[in-house]
Amino acid sequence: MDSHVGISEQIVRGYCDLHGITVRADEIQDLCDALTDAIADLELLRQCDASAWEMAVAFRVERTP
Amino acid sequence: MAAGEHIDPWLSISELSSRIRAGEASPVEVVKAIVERTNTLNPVLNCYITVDEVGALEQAQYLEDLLTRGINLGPLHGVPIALKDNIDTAGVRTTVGSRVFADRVPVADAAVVELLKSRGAIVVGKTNMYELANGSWHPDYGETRNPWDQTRSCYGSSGGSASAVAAGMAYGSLGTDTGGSIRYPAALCGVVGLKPTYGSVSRVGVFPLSPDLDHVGPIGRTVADVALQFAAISRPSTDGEAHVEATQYQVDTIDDDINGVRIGIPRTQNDETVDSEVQGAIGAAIDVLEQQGAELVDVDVPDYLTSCRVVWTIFSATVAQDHRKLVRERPNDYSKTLRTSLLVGEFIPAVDYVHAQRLREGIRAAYDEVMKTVDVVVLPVTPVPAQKIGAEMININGRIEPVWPVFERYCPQFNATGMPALSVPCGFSQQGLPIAFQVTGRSFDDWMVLRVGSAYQNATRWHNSHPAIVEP
Repeated sequence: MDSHVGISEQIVRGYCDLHGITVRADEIQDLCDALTDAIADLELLRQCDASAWEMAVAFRVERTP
Repeated sequence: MAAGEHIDPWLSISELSSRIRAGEASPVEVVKAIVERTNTLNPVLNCYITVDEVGALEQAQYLEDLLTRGINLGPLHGVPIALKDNIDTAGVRTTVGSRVFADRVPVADAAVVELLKSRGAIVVGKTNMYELANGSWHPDYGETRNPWDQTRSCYGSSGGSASAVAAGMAYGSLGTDTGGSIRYPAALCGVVGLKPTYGSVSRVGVFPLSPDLDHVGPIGRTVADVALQFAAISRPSTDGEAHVEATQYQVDTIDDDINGVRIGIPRTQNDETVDSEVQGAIGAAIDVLEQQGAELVDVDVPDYLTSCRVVWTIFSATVAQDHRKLVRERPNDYSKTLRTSLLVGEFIPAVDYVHAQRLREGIRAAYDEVMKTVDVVVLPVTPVPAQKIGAEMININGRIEPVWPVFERYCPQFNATGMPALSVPCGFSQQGLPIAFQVTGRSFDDWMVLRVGSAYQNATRWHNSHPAIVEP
């Protein structure tokens, strides 16, 4: 079943099959949960473009965008 | 009286060294006393994976023979030191806390071990650690217990090294720190831990987690003990890998006063994300430093949680790449927790990894600017004291937060920047659990960081408290 809110079991299984990763049936849900959390963290980082730039500019550090 | 029973396990390294120099204690007696204590307490605390009694006694006898010939190798001569089990020791198994490497016996010592031995230190054993230094204890080795409350975690990944020193099962130890792994357990166990400047201590012969974030550093019961170990290991290595600049032998300078030293206090220091007891203890520590003549300066520092996520992204992708082959070949030799973590790392897109590296440059640049205005910055190590083993959520002033990344928010930034960072005990919670503050400074100015920590300890007595461990 693919009822999990977040990254789906189907996507995880597809990726694992493609890359030769064996995931046990009783561990797939934990992996989906961990990936969902990880993607949330990555999404927060993706939003940091501006803040990182502003952080550097605020301290008058020269950076190339 | 058992051999070495009169050797006080709570002596500082310099006190022990003085007794050995004066002939009041012999290295063999000292090792016997430590091994005896370890045999009693290790079943309770699980600090050591391997106790090398035979090797330590041989080393002690050799050092004792040198003393009878009038040769003293310095302040570590005859001092038993413990090593995290990811630091190679010739002829002594080095498991990295992993089943994959359970039977691995290195043929050579790590560069830091060579340096310690050349200064007379005795390697008494290999300490327990997170599996591959990454996030959790492997069930084969179990979890190290906090000597102040055995129902509580000492966290990781150098938990065994910190707990052993806190419990008097070694006079000092080495750990490794990729995102705070020396500083968290040192803080939670009430001992001192230094993550030195990146590049000031060789990592040759130390099992990598994420090489551009990994650091090797000392743990001790006092700042002076940490300084003595740091002085021994912060030398240029013959392989050319370490690039020591200004971090030379300056142990004597740690007792210089801190009159006029500028201490940065982040404006975000005392917010609701730090437990009120921790805030109080750190506030009192800052008052002590001000009374010693330091000048307090408000500073703005990069966002802590962003820094945490940056480091997590870099190291997760790196570790996943390093173990990509092995985890496919031997999945059952990894714990379920680590296997999941490694697979998550494989899902991190390259663009996010590159983005994290660019954010890291932003963090580094921001701190470079901060450090133009101050000599050190003082901040928490952890927002709360040691938590119950297995806790996944923490209560901070009534707010329930996940352990990760909240618990780790104050440390990984200095792995990203490479700056030195020292954890110093500064009190106890009402439950009797240690609290610590963190001092960071300019890269290759580790001695200034140690000087501030030493000034604090010279004015306070927290470091003289020791846990009453319930023996079996």
